[in-house]
Amino acid sequence: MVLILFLLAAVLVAVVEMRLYQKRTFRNFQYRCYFPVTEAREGEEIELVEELVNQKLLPIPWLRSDFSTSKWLDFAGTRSVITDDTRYVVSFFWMGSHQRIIRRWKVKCRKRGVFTIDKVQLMATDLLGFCLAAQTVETGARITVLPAPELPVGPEYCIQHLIGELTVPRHIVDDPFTIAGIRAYQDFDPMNRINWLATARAGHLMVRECAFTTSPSLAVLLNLHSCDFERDRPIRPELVENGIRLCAGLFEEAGHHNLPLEFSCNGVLPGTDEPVETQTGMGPEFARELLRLLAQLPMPGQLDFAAWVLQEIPRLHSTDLFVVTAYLTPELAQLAGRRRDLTLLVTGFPDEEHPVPPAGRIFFLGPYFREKEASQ
Amino acid sequence: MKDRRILILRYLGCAGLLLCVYPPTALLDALLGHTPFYGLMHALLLAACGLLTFLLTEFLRRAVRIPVLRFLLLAGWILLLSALAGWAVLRTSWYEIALCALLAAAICIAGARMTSRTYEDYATRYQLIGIPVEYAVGLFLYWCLQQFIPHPNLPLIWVALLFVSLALLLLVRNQANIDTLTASRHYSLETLPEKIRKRNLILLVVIFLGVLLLFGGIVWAAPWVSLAAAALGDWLKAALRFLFSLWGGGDEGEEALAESLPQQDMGFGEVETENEWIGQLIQVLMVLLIAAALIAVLYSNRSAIRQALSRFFRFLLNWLRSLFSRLPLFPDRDGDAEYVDTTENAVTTIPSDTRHSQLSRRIWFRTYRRYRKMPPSDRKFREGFSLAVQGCALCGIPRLPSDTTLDIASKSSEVTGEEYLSVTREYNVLFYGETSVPLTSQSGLDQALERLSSVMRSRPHRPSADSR
Repeated sequence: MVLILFLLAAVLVAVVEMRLYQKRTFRNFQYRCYFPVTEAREGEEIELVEELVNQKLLPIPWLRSDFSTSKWLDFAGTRSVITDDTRYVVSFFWMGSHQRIIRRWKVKCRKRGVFTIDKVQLMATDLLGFCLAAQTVETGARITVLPAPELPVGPEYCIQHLIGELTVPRHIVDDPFTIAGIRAYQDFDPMNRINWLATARAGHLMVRECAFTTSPSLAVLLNLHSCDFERDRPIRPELVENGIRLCAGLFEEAGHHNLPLEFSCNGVLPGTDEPVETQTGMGPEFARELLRLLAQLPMPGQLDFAAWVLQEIPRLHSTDLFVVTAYLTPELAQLAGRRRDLTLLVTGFPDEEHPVPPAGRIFFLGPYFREKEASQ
Repeated sequence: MKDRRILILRYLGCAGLLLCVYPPTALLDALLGHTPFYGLMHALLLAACGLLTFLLTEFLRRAVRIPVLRFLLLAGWILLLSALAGWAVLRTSWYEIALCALLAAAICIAGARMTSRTYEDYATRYQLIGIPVEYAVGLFLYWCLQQFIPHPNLPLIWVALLFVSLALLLLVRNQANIDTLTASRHYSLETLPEKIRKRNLILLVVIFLGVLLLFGGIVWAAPWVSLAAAALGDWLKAALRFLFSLWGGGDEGEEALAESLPQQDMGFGEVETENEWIGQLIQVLMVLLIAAALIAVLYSNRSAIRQALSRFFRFLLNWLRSLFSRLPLFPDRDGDAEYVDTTENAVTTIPSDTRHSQLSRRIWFRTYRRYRKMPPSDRKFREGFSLAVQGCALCGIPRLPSDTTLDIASKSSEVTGEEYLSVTREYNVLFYGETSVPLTSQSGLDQALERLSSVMRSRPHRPSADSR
């Protein structure tokens, strides 16, 4: 009889334990997974927060949360598995009664992009493994990692002249503060332009000749191909990433000086059919918007870059034109030779087998980025 | 560290499995006419031999790489340990020695074969079910034989060994379960937080203690419960007999009263009436009458009983929650630097005496139905607004004591709709200005209440933590 009673007690406890965990593991239980910030810079360290609340008496002896995100969010080194571009992260918890656990992962943003954690799979079990309860939680955690701005400095890279005013051959009205020279008075000249000192010296009326000036403005064209004939996957993505960083640097600089700015690239944003083209804008806020746009750009581009540039350039009316590309083609080199306002920033190295004749303002920034990587 | 833990778990699992040798040894000893203690010692010795074989085989497998030599050494060990077991349980006759030696050899071979299995295999679900079944079958067979050898301590030995065996296997299963579930997706076991294991073990020990307490309680309470049940039955019979005697009147009643004492025989056969079936009918009627009276009393006081029960359970829950909130929390930071854990108490006390706490969903819906039947008036508007505020609390919308009506309206706009904010402004005007309510506000409040009721029907009951 005693043994039967003991067996009954043991079976009763086992069944009650199993049923309790089967039915009530996820009752009065909340799970949240979120990034405390919405934006971060490339290379910055942020936090990913997992918050669990168990508002019941029943403890959860073993709880596992599985989620996947991009491998470019670097965290949980020993607790994650990387396959292709995805990082699977597993997190384990023991939750007592009426307990809240806040787990803060230290996340290093390795690359620009928009990264999400859409769903988290929760799995819990009882003490003895008789039952397994699972639940999928929609989290919607999202973070935009902006590209790190990169702008080469030094005498060999003359691309930091984005301040001051530019003298142009012709504009709507001339600039009364910029004197181009002195000439003889003509009938249509206003009287307030007469330079009396020069008149006295010349013996007849002389007037100031004012120059035409304009504020500098910037147009940036980005090539999202890393080499010719690229289709689905970029062959040398690091070159394009460096180009994106260069663009970010130009945007920040232009935003800092309040220069009018526009941006185009031969890529297409997800969900759209047209290549990326922005309206002209200025200021730090606009630069920030462009950085957000850069963060979303997919690789590789959709359009052939050389043809697209030749088609795009006549549309632009900026005083400075920056073309950022990973490689140099003869068409681009010829274009740089023809246009004085065009600066070609090549993130790769010069092709030694098929050298392009130097013409115009062409900067090969491959050595600069290599040195920078080596120093890091 | 991991190897040592797994090695310990393997030994424990092996010991737990080897303890299932007790039913056969106990039966064997019962057949041979020995006491249960002799069988217990025999079983423990055999289990120790099996464990020793397991240990030695484990060492041999690690030490010797040549298969033939390993096999010879293993066979030698098994023979030696079999002889040891046979000698240890030396009997008087040759066939007893032969039987014990055979059993010992089987146990030793089983112990040696266990080395080729991982520790997760020691405590499978079938083994956890099979061992109690084996003990139950063994006990039944023993009970058949017990007619010849009765012993008072027999059940205690069986239960103790079964408990130890099950406890060991459940412990191994708990740890194996953690490892199995953790190891999927090529996940390294080394990275599992140690505290999960420790806390699992603590919880397991608590459950073992719970089983023991439950079992002890059942064993201790069983005679008392049976005694109380018998006494209650006697008193019930006596009361019925007394009532019946009152119905019959005169001396029979006195006799019946005298006979109705619990110490005496309570058989109804002694009470003889002229018309026995009428007496039985009356008896049934009396039982029904008592039951009906009891039900009537319970039904008339149902709200008081429900409130008392509700208060009791609320007190119990609050007490348990406060108990858990006082428990020390585990360290905040985990061992490595990849993440930081912060652990907090999330205790929410159920309010006991306020109006909101007493307002259950059922009462809310009842009040809402009454509200809908009321004619449009300022009083209806006030009642409806009060109902909406209470409904927000029942929907779990957080609320602070310092919140104004407009704060509550803005917090609950997802549930009640945007127009509830304008209704609240109208209510404020009505409350302070004593003006009459326009019809648009009344309809807005009706819509908000309808939304609230639909939300409350769709959601489980979760009162707000700050609804006080």
